[in-house]
Amino acid sequence: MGKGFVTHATAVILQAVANGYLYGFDIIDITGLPGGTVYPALRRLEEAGHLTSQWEKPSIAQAAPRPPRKYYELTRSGREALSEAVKRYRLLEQTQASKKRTPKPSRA
Amino acid sequence: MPLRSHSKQFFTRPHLRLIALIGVIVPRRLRADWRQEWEAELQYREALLADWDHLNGRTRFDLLRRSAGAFLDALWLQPQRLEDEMFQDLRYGIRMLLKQPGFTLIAVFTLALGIGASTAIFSAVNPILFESLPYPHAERIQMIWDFGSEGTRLHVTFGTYRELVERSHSFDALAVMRAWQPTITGTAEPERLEGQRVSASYFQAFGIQPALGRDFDSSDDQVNGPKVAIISDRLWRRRFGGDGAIIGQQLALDANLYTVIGVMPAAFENLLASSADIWSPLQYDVSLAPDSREWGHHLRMVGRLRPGVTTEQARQEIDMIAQAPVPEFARPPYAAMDNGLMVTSLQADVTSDIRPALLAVMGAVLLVLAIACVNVTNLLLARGAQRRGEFAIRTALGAARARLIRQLLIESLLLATLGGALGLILAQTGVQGLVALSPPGLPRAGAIRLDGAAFAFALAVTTFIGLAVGLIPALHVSRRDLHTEVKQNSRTSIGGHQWTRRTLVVAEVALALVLLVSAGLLLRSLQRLLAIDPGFDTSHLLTMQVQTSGHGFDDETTHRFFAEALEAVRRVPGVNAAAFTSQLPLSGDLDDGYGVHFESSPTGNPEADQGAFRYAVSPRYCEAMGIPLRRGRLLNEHDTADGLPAVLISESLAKSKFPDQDPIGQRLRIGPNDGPWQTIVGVVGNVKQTSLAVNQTDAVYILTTQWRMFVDRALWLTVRTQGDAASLAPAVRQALRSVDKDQPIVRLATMDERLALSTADRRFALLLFEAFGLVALMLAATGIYGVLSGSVTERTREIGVRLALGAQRRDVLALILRQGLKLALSGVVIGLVAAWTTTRLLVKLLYGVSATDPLTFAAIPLLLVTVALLACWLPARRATKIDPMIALRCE
Repeated sequence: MGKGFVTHATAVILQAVANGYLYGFDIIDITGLPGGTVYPALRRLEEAGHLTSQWEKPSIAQAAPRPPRKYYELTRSGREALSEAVKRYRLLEQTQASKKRTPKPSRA
Repeated sequence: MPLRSHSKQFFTRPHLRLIALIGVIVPRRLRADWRQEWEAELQYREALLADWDHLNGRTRFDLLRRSAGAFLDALWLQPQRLEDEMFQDLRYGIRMLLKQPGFTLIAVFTLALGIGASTAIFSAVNPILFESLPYPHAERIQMIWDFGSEGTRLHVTFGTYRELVERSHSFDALAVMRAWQPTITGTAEPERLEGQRVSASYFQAFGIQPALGRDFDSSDDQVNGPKVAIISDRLWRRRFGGDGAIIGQQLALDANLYTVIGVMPAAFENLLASSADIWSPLQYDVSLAPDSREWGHHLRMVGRLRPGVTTEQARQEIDMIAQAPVPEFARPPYAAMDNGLMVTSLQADVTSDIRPALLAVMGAVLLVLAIACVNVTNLLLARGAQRRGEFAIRTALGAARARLIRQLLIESLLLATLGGALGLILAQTGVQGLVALSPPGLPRAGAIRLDGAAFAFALAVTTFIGLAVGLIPALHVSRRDLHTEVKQNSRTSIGGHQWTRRTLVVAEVALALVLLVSAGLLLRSLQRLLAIDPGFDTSHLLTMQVQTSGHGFDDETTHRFFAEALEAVRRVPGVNAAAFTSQLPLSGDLDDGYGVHFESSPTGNPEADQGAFRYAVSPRYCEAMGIPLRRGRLLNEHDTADGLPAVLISESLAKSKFPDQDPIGQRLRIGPNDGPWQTIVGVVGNVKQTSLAVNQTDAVYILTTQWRMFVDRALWLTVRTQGDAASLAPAVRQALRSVDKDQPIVRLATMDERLALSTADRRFALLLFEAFGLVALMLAATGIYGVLSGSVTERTREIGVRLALGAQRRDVLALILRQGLKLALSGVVIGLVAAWTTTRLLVKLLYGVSATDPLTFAAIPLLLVTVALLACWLPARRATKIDPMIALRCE
């Protein structure tokens, strides 16, 4: 990706993460994009340094026995890329969440 | 991470099964994390749905649909797999090669030698044997020849050509041609040009149009037609500076004015006369007067088949025409087409002479390539033995066998690529060398270069070699017993390893033997050929062709000019004798054959023609050439133009026609049917005419002044000199110019040079075989050295034990030498068997030597074994220097 422009789908996904939808399936739900688009985009964004990924705390996962999920967060370059993308795809502005609606990563 | 805690329910949940299935294609090192990510999401969602009682068929299907999205994700990860591992292997391979620079250099150089040589030879052979000729639908272009006596090929007559043009329907275009060497005068230097006189449809037969101006048409090819010419691109640029206004310009050729009507394209290759720069219509008389030049066998015929007509069909049609003469085309008996006509494709015709030599050379270079491969395989095996420990540890740490094999193949491909790159550089030099050394008659010599096809060949060969050379060592490495390798570092489990190396060396020696035997046979052939007596004295003989051109020459003045020229040359100091002849033996273009009718034909049918070469000579020709007189007398000045026509015949002709009687006084007639009878006054020794190898020696000699049919306008001058022939050339030219300064003198060479030229293609093939044989010998020797050296290293302890137990140094030496000798002898025996079967492929190139010549088959093995013993010497000496104390101590 690098210096090139971000595609619309990727911008949407970036915006979703910025809005607090940090888990893969949540992004799929909120953006309406299929898993085959979202996951490769997440990996590309991670490779480009716009996102970082982490496993959620094991204690939370072990409570309801399931493996820990992976969540993604925006980095600084990610925020810059997002603001660039918003300038290009101006409809995205309207989807930006207000501060109080941002959920926390460790919600179960 | 509790991944398996739900394994009981695992298989009832299809979405998780699907993830497991798709996970198979994810690169191994990413797989665990990837599966966890997907399974976590799916299980989380499933748990949520179960909590809300929403887990029904539809939602389960939704889960399955989501898990299907994992497939694209897995696909996206594929490039990571190959990239990382392959680059790792590549980097590792490069490091390994750099760590052992000696090995790498030797291997790369050996491969470069093999790849470079084979690419160079391929680029020489490709334009001639494989590529189609540079004309549209080149396979339709055919050459048509007449049949002489004994089935030899003969030039056609114009009469035959006219008949075919009118009666045959198989050809789109038919054309005849002959050589033409006009002298161009004008503003620049007078120059003798190489050219052709052709029919109007000549260029149509090739399918190439002039790039400028127009082609000939039928109105140009009439008896008193316009004097027009088409020139080549080469000539246009060289002499006329590529001036666009050349069309319509007039040239002074042989004191006539010709108008330039066209220029051929630069890419046009005139295969039938590659040095021809100018063409003009033949303008022969279609009324076909009997005994005119229209009935002389001196033309070559080329034709382009109609689409859909095959060569065979054309041949049959021509045979039918040949057997059914019609009154409009009355044929003299010597142009009666009794045996039909020969129709061959142009490509076959042009390449048939050189094909056996080229195929042989290709075979030789492939042998060299094979030997180089075997050598490098052995090197890799030796290296593999050294790296046993490394691979054992890697296997212990979990490397799959396939991975190790891939690693080694990448290394060998790397070696091959480096070898290929260096080889291309070598090939470039090789190609230049080939073009410089190539025999003059090599067709399409201008097309020999490193082009796309050669690169493709080099690439294919490099890839194939890279894989082939690496395969055996790779398989060997992965067959090791892991446990043993990690523990021990020497002796045991060498067995299989060494056996492979020894077998490969034996193969190497066998291949080298085949190559050397072939070279030996060619060498002996050449020696035999050069030992043949040509029938005349070839030393100190200067030869050149003198032509009378221009208006001022009729029959009378031509004779006078040559007579004066002869006188002038005889007066040059250092000249012992001089003479003129219409054809020069061993000059490469003897085509003046005639039917000879004998008045009394004691053998055979009076109508049957005996074909013989006609020599119109000056008096004392045989003395000047050193042709011995067998019976009767030689021609001399007393045989005047008005006197009794006297001829000499060759010994072979005398023997075949007059086996029991004296030919002197008998009469024959050479030439037209109603010409005068000529009396045989002498029999002279046989002279090799077309080449040393061909035994066609029938000849009739007659004085130029007594030959009535026409006057030879170009004659060969032969000068016997006291000292070095070449040094007298300027003086002889000066003498000729003093008689008439305008008459061109061409094709000057000494007879010895001509002899060398006539064996040029054999010597070319021999040179290549010798070079390859030398390379093969060196490679085989280094192969033996390598194997024995490795063997001595492996057996250090054993030798130490022997020495400690009382063996003499001498015995150790003998031990190693015996081992080497065994290898060499096995290789020699196998090689002899292989050579026995394959040298028969060389038969066409051999002369006077059988394909299983015992002398060669005995001498070459001796040579090989000697070289092998020399190669064994160093390792054997090293073995004797082993200190038992050190050897026993080192484990």
